[in-house]
Amino acid sequence: MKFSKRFKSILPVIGLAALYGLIMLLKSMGIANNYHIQILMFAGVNIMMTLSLNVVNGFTGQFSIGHAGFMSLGAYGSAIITTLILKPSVIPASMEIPVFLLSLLVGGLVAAMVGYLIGLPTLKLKGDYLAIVTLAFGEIVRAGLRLIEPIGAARGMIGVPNYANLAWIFLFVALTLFFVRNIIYSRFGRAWIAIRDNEIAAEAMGIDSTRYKIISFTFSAFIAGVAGGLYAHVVSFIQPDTFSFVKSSDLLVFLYAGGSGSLTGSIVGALLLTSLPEALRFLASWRLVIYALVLVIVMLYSPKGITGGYELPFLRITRKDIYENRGKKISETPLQETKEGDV
Amino acid sequence: MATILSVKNLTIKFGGLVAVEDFSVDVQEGELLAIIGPNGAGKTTVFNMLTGIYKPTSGSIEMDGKNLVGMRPHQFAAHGLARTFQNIRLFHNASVVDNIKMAYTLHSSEKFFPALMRTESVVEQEWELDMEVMRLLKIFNLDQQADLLSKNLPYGPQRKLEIVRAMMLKPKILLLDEPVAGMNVAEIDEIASLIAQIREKFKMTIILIEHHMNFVMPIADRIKVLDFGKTIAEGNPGDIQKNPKVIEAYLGGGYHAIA
Amino acid sequence: MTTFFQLLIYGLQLGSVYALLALGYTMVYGIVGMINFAHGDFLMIGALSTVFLAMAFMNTSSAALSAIQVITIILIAMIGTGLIGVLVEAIAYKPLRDRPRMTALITAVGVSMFLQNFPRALPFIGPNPRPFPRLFPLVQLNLGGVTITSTQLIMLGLSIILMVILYFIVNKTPLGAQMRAVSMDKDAALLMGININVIISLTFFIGAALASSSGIFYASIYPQVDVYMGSWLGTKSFIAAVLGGIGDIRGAMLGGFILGISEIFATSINSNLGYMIGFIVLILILLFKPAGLLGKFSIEKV
Repeated sequence: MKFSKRFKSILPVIGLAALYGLIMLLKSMGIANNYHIQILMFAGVNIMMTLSLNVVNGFTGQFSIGHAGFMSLGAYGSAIITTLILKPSVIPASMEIPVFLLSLLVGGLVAAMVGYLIGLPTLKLKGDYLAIVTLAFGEIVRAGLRLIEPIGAARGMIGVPNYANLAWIFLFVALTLFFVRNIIYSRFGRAWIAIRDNEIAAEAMGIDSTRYKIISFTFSAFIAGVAGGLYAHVVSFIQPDTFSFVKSSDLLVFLYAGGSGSLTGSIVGALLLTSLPEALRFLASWRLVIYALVLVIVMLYSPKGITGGYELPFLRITRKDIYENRGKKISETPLQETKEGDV
Repeated sequence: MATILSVKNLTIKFGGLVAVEDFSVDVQEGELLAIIGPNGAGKTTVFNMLTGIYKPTSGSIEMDGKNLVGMRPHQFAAHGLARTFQNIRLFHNASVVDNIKMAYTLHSSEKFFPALMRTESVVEQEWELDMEVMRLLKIFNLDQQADLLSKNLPYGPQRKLEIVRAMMLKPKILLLDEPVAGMNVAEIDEIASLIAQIREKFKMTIILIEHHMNFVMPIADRIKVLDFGKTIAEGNPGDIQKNPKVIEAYLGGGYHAIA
Repeated sequence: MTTFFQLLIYGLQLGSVYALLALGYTMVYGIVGMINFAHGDFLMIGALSTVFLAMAFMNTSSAALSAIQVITIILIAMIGTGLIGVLVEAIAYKPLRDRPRMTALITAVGVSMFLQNFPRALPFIGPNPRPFPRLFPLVQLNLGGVTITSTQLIMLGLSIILMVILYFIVNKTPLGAQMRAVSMDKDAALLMGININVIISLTFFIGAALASSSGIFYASIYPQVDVYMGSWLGTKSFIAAVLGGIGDIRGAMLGGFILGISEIFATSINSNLGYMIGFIVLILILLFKPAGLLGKFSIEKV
């Protein structure tokens, strides 16, 4: 019992390590090249971004359509640390990893703080109005970044050290999945889903909808910020226009085509739709036409997205898991009558 | 018996239209108060004010010596007013268990960062919560459907689930908005015994809205009759049944006859 | 002071483009309740088809375009784009009417991507910007230091005429009454015997045709056309529709002019500020009037 419980909890970790090993093996055999690795790293960042969007749109039922704004704040926040303040030339090589991690934290926190500040007044807006404000937010951030000369204005920042490699991306994607899954199956996730399914009933059941929406927004922004930080350290070059509405709508496409409200959907959507345009490169200028058609067809014929609401076993926590975790069997747990006034 | 909710001169206007005028009531601990009246009399509007969904134009809603007017719905819930809805408002894409767990949010002491890490203590809390919910479901005979999505429940059990969910808030007063609307005779009996059970087991104070006289008369301690937003009669079921104003309101309104 | 009036004129001309485009957003939103993110691309289709129509006409007459020819070109472009709008709705949006809003929104993103990249992939169109022919005579008038061109006057006049016609159709004709009925309550409209499909198709037709005219006007002031021009103009017009109060056609017109004028004034200070100003104005207005300037919130029935 004890052993199998342990084993079950580290199984995903083993699986992930094996996947990483396989990719490295393919690379050493010359089947996968640096270009493939690069695409995989972008896909990883996109998975994080899609998960972040899923928290707000998929689980809390709010409409953010300007998520690239948070990503850019994270990218610039962390790039400023590693490129301008603690740049490689002023720190010893042994400090590179701590500085990198610090920069990601800063990126996440900057995005989270801004998410909190804009969430405060705007989350009272309903549905489409919130959507349009988040869009406006994303574009204001972009136009704002274009004005700031020390970070390269519209030209962008070059020479961001490329600290992020595939192993880091793997680690952060795994951590994000772990955290998002845990929070979804807690008081917080339940409150979000309640708000999503019926906000009036959620309020009537004692759920402070504004507060939980802000928690959702801030948490989501933090993930987006870290993902943005990773992105900056993959590409070494960031520009305000990278994080335009086009980027935000790409993320929405990943989320809804994959299946919103499902973590598996975010992985599949981001992975598949990041690699699809690359795989279609042989079509030259017809590639985006085909991509658009695929997207419309998926939306028309598969309303729950590609995954159809399916969730991988290690990305969900069932009631059975809770009991097993306590070393009990769900069927054997006695359900004695409540004492009077117990409820 | 002590007064636990004191409502004074509740009035609400939409545009120029007065929807409810001077609604006052002192609710006694443990009683079952029924609010009846023809369609459009303003009964649900009273509930919406008593649970913070609408803000009254004037008047006060006092509980524990505090005026709740102007607070948000979740604060009304925190002060012990839990309700069900006329048009069922369950969390449709969540399971039956989760629907009830959602109503526990307020009482839960799970913290964000431990929940993020899913620490041992969080798992422990989740486990205890699950057992508590299952006990409650067993009392109300819903434990077999625990893992079903609430939208897949039949209509009757959906209404029942809404009541159980409100009970999970551990309220001081339970407000039921037409709990037997659209039900057949067998289902109505079941809800009646469920309400009796809640009163007996949990000593719950209940306010309910209903058209169904056969349902209301035997279980109500006290009845208030609304018509066009005004209270036209108040008293025990026997008196209400004989009150000419009530008969007038029901028959004159073209509504189904008083039983 | 002359600068002020000069900027005001630029603001009005840009505002009329936004207003015409915003009308389509607001009408579709009012009738179907969806944000048609592909709406901006109808503007591009209008402008692009005008380029080719003008080329065809110039080949035949080989001289400058006559007034009749210009009117014909504009009408063909508007009707053609309108039909494309109807087609898009029938193929991509109609099956999604009862699905969650986000599904329709994402589909619209896909449609937009298609409308941009399909002409881009066609060899005779391609990704490069191309010059826009001069449709209107260019005479400069000088009013106390403020320059107005005849192009500006004609396009302002035409867009006001189009808006008045639309306002008349929506408010004074049986067709408009049906449109308003559908936007208020679809089920009730259905019971009244209104053919909802026809009304929705007509709404898309009118919206796309107006977008097409706004594309022609826009390209007449900034005579360059490419396949992507619709996307950012569309975003801004959508902003205009929202800040005016989405679902309300007077709101779309008002929002369009507010956005156009504030953008021109802000751009005269700094071009990035000009880009940002619309979004800032939007957020400020929504903070104080959450339904936009002329929009109304209905109380949700509980």
